[in-house]
Amino acid sequence: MADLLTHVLTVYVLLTVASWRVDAVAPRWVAVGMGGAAIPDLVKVHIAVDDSLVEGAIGLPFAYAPVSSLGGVLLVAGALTLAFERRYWRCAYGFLVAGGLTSLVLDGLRVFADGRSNPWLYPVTWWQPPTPELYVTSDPRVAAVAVALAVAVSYVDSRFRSDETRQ
Amino acid sequence: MRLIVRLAALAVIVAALGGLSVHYDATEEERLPYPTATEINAEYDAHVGQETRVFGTIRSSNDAADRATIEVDSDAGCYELTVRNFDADVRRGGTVQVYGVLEADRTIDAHRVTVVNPSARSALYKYAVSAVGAALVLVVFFREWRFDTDSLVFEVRDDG
Repeated sequence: MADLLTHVLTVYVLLTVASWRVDAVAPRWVAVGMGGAAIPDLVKVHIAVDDSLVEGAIGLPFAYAPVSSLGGVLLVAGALTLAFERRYWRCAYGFLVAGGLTSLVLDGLRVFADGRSNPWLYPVTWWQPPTPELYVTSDPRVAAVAVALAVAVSYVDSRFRSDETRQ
Repeated sequence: MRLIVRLAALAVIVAALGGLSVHYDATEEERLPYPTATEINAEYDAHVGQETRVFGTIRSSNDAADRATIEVDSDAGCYELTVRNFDADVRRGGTVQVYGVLEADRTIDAHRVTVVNPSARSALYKYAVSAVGAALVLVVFFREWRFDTDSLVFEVRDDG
């Protein structure tokens, strides 16, 4: 998967640009969407506690992989939504899911040896969408492009907002 | 929303997530197109002749012979495979994806090898950059939201 910084900045760029046209995309929701972008990265918990350790503890087969899939994003976003004040639930859930799905799509665009991404639409389907093989995460240019785009969008955004307040 | 209701909803969601985690691991072997790393290790000979895609860490490579030995991680521990037609530019400790056909003697005839991490340092790079990403999310989030310790929920900062 792309690194967490690239995930988070990609959602920042997309939502901030959307906010120029759609009033509902307030900065607070951009922040929530960025949090959602981190959901699929929770799969990296396995570095601390390996799948096989959990398997041994519960006595059942176990994999973290679903966290980095459609089903995992929908559920983890639901859990996080519960931490918000009730009147924000709809928006919080929507932006968390949007952020998480963006990360899943981004991960599906990277290089795979057989040209097929992971089954990230699980549990809806095990189908592995073909990938255009746009990048390898360990290539520092990936995060560099994300940072450059985010800085540019942030600059335009601050101009846009100061224009708005002047009018 | 009362805390008890939120906790009950959370328990349901955690149970569903646990269900997915068990279901995925229990069914992936029959649903994925290739034998998994665990299956290959458990019954290597039964899978000879089949295509597979595995992730592995470079233990040694011989450029002249287009061969490398990779260490593959599975549910039941690590094991080594030899890769033929290995043409990737990667150092010991780096990681690759190998797509190819399983042959006798724990050898994969590679159709294609792609580099995941060109060296062991690449993994550190990813963790470092990801840590910056995690810090950024927290900073941006708490600039807009605050945790209300009375009601135990996130509230908008400029709300009051």
